[in-house]
Amino acid sequence: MKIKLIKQLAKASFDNNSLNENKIKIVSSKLKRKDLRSYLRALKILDQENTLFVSMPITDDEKVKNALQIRFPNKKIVYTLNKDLLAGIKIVNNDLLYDFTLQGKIERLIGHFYDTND
Amino acid sequence: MSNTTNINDELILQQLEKNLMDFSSDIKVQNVGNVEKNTDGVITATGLSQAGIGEEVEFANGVMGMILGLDEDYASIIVLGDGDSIEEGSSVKRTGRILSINVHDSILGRVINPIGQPLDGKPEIKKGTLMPLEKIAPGVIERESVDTPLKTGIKAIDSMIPIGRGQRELIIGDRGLGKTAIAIDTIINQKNHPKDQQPVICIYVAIGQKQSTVARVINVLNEYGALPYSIVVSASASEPVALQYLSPFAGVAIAEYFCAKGRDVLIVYDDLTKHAWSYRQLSLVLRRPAGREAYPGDIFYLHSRLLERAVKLSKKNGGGSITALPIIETQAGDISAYIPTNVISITDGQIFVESDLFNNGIRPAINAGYSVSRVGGAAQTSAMKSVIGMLRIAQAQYRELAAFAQFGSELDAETRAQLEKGKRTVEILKQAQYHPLSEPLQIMSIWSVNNGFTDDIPTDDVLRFEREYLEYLQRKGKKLLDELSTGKKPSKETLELMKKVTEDFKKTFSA
Repeated sequence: MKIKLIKQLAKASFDNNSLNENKIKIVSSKLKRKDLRSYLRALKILDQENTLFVSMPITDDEKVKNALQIRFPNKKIVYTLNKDLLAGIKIVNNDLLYDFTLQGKIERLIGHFYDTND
Repeated sequence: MSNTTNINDELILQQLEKNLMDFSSDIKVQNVGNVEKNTDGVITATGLSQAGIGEEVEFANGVMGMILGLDEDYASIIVLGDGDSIEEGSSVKRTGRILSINVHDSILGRVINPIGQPLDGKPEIKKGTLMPLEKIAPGVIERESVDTPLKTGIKAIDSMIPIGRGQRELIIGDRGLGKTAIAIDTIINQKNHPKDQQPVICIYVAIGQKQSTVARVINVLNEYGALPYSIVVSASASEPVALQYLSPFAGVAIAEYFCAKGRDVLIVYDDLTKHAWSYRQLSLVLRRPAGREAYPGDIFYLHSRLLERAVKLSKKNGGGSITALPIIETQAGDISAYIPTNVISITDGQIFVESDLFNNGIRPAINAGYSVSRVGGAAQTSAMKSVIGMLRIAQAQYRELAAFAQFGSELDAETRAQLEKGKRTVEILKQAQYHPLSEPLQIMSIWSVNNGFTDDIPTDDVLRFEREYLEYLQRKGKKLLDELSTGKKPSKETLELMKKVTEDFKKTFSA
């Protein structure tokens, strides 16, 4: 089966950016072993594209959560707790990382000093 | 003392303040990816949609990598460090930099790996210029033709297969026949540069070699005082295959740094057979289609783009040069295999070392018939040209004649004379390892044989004759050697002097 078709099947396996188990079961039962591998891979990539990963030093910041929900209405948002960030927020949207954290800023400052001094 | 400390403290604070002002605190947006697969140091990662080929990436554990291939959904990355520590699912981010090596003048005399980390236990290389490993070679406008000799100090090469600065001359032959020895002798000979000129900078790139072999080369360079103007780039057999693949590119990037400063550079790739092996391994892991001998389709391009970076820049562009001496190891003398034929066709000539000659005690074991220098003739000095005449062709003819003579008992006088002369020429072209000779001494050696001064000396005594003759010249023929070192065609008076000095010596020499 052509990879383009497999990608279309993978796309169709999502309902409102969430995986539909029944659809996946039907598609998987009809695919050959080699195509099944490509299908699973496509599902994984699509799932990643549909998910927003957010790291924060605190998890109960409702203000931020609401703001993100408004900003990314079609995305599934996964929150993780990371106290090393010190303050701020880190967002991974597909393959773009937005670093608004204090930890990131300090690291960039260290890198800047390293690059500009012997 | 306290004043100086205060000033230094102040200066440091001022510098830090200045750096802080330069620092941009903008939000950082980074293109990232996820590791899908780690196969023998080759990583497959999703994401990284904005990355480019040859770009440097950083894994979550700080290990660096380089993008070697881009697919619709995947990027193939080679790891420039410990590949085992990268796990599936870990993140990888773009750096936005093309893979480069830090080069500073203080890199001379150092032993480094292809990413610029010191291997000699000395401090890190000072921050200098970042030179990209992959770069398009200079175009025709920036170049000029090869016209300056790169003297190897080896009689057989400087006379028959001369190498010019900016040339690519392949050294090819089976293992253990002295290919590396030729390259090392050439590096050592650069010590004997004219006082008004700087030495040629030498870069020795060891690809997939045993650590012990590399250590021996470094010791030799150190022992003969060649290390101060040399750099060793080493990716030994135990290093990841990605580093072996990158090492010649790192070497040429260093060469380009010095070339841009107008310096002449010699780079030895030891050897490109192992480099081709490392690229084949990477390509097979990357599941690229395999071609002849399982090498990927772009193996020719790999070596051609590397060797194309050998250059002689025009005066307008600084006049620097990069001379490349790639080495290829053959199996049972088969120069028609895939990689040897590729590199032969890319280079401007080849020095072919042969096992039969080596086993007969002819060292360096250079086969004059198969060896050729396509552009070096233009760089040979008039002095050398006038003396050698048809030496290379005569040598090739002698070998054929000697082979036929084994079958016939009766030979005419002319053939016998040709054979005798050939024997003596073979003897005079023998040379011990690590004993490069200056051009005037080479000229005198070859001239003495060509002009029949060794005809009455038994073949076994020719080498002793040469040794004592050269010692005599260094003692009593300084004026003559100075005259020859100008590189000009010897005048009638000089030729008379050469004859007189040689006759004087022969009176003292007892066979």
